[in-house]
Amino acid sequence: MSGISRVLIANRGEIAVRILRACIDEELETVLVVSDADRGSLAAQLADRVVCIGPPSATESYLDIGRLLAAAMGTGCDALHPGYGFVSERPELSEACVEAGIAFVGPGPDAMRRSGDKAAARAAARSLGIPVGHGSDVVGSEAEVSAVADEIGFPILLKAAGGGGGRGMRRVDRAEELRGAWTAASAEAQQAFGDGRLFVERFVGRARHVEVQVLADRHGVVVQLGHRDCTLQRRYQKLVEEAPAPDLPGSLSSEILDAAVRLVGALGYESAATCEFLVDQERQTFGFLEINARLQVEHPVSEMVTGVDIVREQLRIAGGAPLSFRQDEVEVRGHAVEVRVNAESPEQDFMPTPGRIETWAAPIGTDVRVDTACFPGWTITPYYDSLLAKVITRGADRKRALAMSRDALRRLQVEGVETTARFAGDLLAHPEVVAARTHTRWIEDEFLPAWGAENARGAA
Amino acid sequence: MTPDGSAPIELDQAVVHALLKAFDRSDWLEMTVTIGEDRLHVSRRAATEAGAANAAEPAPEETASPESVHAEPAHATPEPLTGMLIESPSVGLFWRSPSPGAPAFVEVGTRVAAEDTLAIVEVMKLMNHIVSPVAGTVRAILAGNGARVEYGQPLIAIDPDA
Repeated sequence: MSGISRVLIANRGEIAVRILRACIDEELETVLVVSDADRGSLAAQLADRVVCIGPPSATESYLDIGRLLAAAMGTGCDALHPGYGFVSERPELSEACVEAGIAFVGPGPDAMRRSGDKAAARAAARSLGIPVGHGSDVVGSEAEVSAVADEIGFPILLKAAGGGGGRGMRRVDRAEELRGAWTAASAEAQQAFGDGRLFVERFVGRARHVEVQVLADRHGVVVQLGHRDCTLQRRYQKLVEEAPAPDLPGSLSSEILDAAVRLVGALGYESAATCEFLVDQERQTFGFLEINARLQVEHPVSEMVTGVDIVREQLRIAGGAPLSFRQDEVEVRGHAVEVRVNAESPEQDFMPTPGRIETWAAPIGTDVRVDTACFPGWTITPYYDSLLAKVITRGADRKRALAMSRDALRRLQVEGVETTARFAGDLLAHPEVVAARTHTRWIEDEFLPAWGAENARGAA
Repeated sequence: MTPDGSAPIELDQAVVHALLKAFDRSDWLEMTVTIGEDRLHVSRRAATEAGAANAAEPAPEETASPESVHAEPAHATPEPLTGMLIESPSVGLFWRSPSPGAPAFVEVGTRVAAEDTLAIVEVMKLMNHIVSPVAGTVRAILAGNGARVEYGQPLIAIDPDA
């Protein structure tokens, strides 16, 4: 067992602080890379050593694999944790670490390619008999669409292969509508993207986003830490995550957990992975969506209900150690909710609001965890994402966890930048959220129109 | 208390630390801050007289260990640093010549034209040529050959032609 002793943290913001904390707990030395804009960050103040690798622009700093490796080798690091985002899912980084003799805290390059490529991951799932989100590859003709539709059943969604944003997208409820919808969607896609190709997906009206946290070590042991629900999203950006997923019928729950473990096990994977599924509440079925081959933003909710420190386990795995616990020791206790508080103005269509944080006070307690890199005097620059903090609460049950979260959001004191805290508090108080009856487009379709109308007056 | 109810600013340790950090990150030559009867004056002019090596050590609290990314103090010149400091565009290795054993691109005193290569900063086999933005004379070379350098670290001082 080789072990590791000095970790390069190749990220910024709250996740850099989170990784630092895990390194301290594992008695590992820390070297943090920073851009010129982050020299004074919280993580930079806490790290054993700081290396400035480039200007504020992420392409010349946090996204530049060469610079990350140069910093790791120049400071004698024997491990590299990529965090999430930036280059965390680039097989080239994992590969460069292997070549440099540095333990990458994540999967090896081949396992990352197998899991990161959506088509390959879906094929792997299919070969294991795991239901895959119903859909097709690119379809060339109306006849082909018709055949796919017969197979997966209406309603279906036609989507442009060449781009997103709703252009070239059509919902088709019946076979008779197919010809007209195909022609219109294809023409629209051609006009918008110069590419008229379409593909087909099953339309899921009330979809919930459920994902499974998996950890795998180098010795072939794969465990799951239960599931999370990340249904509350805005434009595919998760806003609220919780664990466990509420209202999952027992059989569906165990099928999803089992599918995730089998899939990750089949990929020769090590470290943390998340398997994402779409759960169709009306049909009571689930389909595999994709694997995230990295630590995820919402990992704390799984930590809160299982007591497992996922980042520490990642570091141990990277050093060659076996997982510190067995599957039968994992018990999901209570319920945890995470709310992302962003430096954005919900009243102005969530426009980012960079600026200097004048006041910062977070209501931290045993069951209230706030993962953040903020402190009074820190400036939120416009170069990176707008995440200020993750407010995580744990209660005996879901109702209590939601109430604690609303309370924590009310007590969070931030001055200097606008935040989404009040918006999130209102969101958690909504009866549909309390009853877990939302779906992935519910915030845009139902909550925001009403909330916006009410709060536009207040803002005026 | 001030009229708006906030506490008055004092030149305490934290404030001085914050001011020094702001100065360190700026390109100002001097800064004077007066709060009440306290006055803080900082100048880079004085610092350069202490030797160019100081300029190559922007974070003196970090001691240089064998794998330190900071440059070893090298080619210190007793003359005051005037002119223009050329900073590293990246973390990497500082090379003074195009290949091992080859003559250095420049020495102290070399006359250079704008766009002349002064040195190389290597990032994982990627050679970044450091070119002079002006015509002038090399006044000092602030990092040793093969030194590990950081982004923003001064590498070479040039006296521009008048």
